[in-house]
Amino acid sequence: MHHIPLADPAWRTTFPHLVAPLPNEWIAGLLLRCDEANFWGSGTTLGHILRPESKRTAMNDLSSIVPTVIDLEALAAALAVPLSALVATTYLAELARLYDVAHLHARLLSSSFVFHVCPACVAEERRLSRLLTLPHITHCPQHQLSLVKLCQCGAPLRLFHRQARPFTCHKCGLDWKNLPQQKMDPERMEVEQHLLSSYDFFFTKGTPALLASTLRLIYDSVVEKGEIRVPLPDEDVRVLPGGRSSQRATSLGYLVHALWQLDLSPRDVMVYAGPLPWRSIKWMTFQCPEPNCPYVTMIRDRTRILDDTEDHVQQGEPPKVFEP
Amino acid sequence: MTDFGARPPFVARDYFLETAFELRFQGLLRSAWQHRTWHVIAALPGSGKSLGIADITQQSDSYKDTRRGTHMPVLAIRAPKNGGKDLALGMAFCAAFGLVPTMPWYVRRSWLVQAIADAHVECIVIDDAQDLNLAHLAFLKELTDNLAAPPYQRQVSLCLVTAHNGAVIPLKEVFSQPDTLWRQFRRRLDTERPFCVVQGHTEEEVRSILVAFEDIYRSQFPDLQLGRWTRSIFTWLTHATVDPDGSKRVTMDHLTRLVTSTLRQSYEQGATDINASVLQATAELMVLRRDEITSIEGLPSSLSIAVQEVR
Repeated sequence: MHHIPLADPAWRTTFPHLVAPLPNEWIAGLLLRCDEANFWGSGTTLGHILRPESKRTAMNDLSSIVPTVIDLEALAAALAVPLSALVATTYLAELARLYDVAHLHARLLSSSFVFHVCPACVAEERRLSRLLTLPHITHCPQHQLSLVKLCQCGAPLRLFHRQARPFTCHKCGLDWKNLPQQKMDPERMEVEQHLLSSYDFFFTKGTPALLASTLRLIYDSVVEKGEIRVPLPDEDVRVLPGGRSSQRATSLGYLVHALWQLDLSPRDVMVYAGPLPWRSIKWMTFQCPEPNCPYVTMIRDRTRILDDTEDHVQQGEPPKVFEP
Repeated sequence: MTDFGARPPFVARDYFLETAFELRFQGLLRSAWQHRTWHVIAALPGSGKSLGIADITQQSDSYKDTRRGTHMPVLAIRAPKNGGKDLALGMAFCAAFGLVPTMPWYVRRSWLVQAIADAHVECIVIDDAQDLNLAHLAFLKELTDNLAAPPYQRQVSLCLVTAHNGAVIPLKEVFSQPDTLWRQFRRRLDTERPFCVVQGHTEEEVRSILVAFEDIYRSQFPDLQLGRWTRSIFTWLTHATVDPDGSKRVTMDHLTRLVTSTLRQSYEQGATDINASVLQATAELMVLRRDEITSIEGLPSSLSIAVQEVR
């Protein structure tokens, strides 16, 4: 519902000013737009729809990615939008399908959270994209700009802050739309396009079986190669004393990163059924002169499902957003 | 008489009628809205003030829209009933906008000004304004002053709608006091019509309402002719018991009660027109025996008491 007349009972149960989710918007951005449209301080909407016992500060960390602290039903009622439209501003549905667990948590996606914004997205339509929450993504695919995590005054950007206006620095008050716009390094952008394709693959086609297959492929690949690519410069990994890194091994961010490190694509994941006894685990390079080879048939069947995904990637379209 | 056993139950219609009173009352509200003037508007209890306010509010094209924003040209509230401070009035204003999260009063205070300006409020109507106290009126002045000042620069109309009895108009004496606040309030009231009393219905106006009732209940009373009882009804409803101020005007509440009650009883007797004896009995009950105490002794005929064997 986008229009509520005064006589409608929904008038009394909705916020004074309504906002509707934008395509591929992140829920945190929606909450800030609601604050701004209603002339409220940053985090006022959030405070209203937090689940009991949840802390407002939770939304400045991992919980903003998978917002289990938010009562989505209450928010849907207050904005007069379908619940499904709000679920689409999170990765709840995608992660639930991929991991098939009773209790979703942000750690299924990432082990840490860095908040950063695209100044151009904020300037154009006050939009915080859902892609900003994905681990290892440091550029805006739409504007090809580096995401900004520090204000010009040096303060780290914070999503919600009681004393700040929405979309502004809590220290100096600078509007995020006025943050410097810096072009992204093309090489890094290419890497992140690869990562985005993998995320898209898991969000649209992911299942627990696929997840297990991915882990098996990663394990076998590491065993076969004995080495992996160097980590990304701003690796989402906590370095422990002794140079070891700590990261939840099954988080999607970790898997996507590992696939890139091992030079593996979603196609490799789809066709992988275990290491072949006589050659590379890279099934895509597998060729057999036998006309009725069962392996070739299996590979052909499995790769067909990927054609749609690859088609739009080749045409330069943004990754699909999973609609529950 | 018809076979009333086969008739569906009587249905009282509660349509909003654009009566002569409503034309006068809403005309005044519209004038204030249009010219952004301030008035104290009084009328007898039961005249139809609240219904008139609700109707004009609903007709004011108020909406919440994700694209066009929120538009509420007429902001109508009811004065807080249990006194309280400015917060009580502020909360009543906030509630008119819908769901507003919890926030400190000092924040809400300034938010209200911004919200009213942004929603393009042009006319503020406060029903039951006789319940407003000093703190409420001071807040009202602050609110409207802030709206009139930069950056909003919005002149809004203010209609304080009160119920009155006799010649006493609530707030009139308050605004006549020498304190600065009241003098400021008095200065903002309209020059020509600062205090208005909207009168009830004359006999002719009662007749036109009865004719309207005939149309409304035609489906349940095919032979209904209420208009011929105009003189009697007007006489009963201007009796000193129901018109203690001697206004010689009829309020809509009294008229509706008399007609509806008579129609219901006539309908239950299977009549297709109003039953004269029922009309007289109902009028006498309302006028002469209104304080009579009814003793409730019997049980409703449909009440069945479950009997259970005790072992």
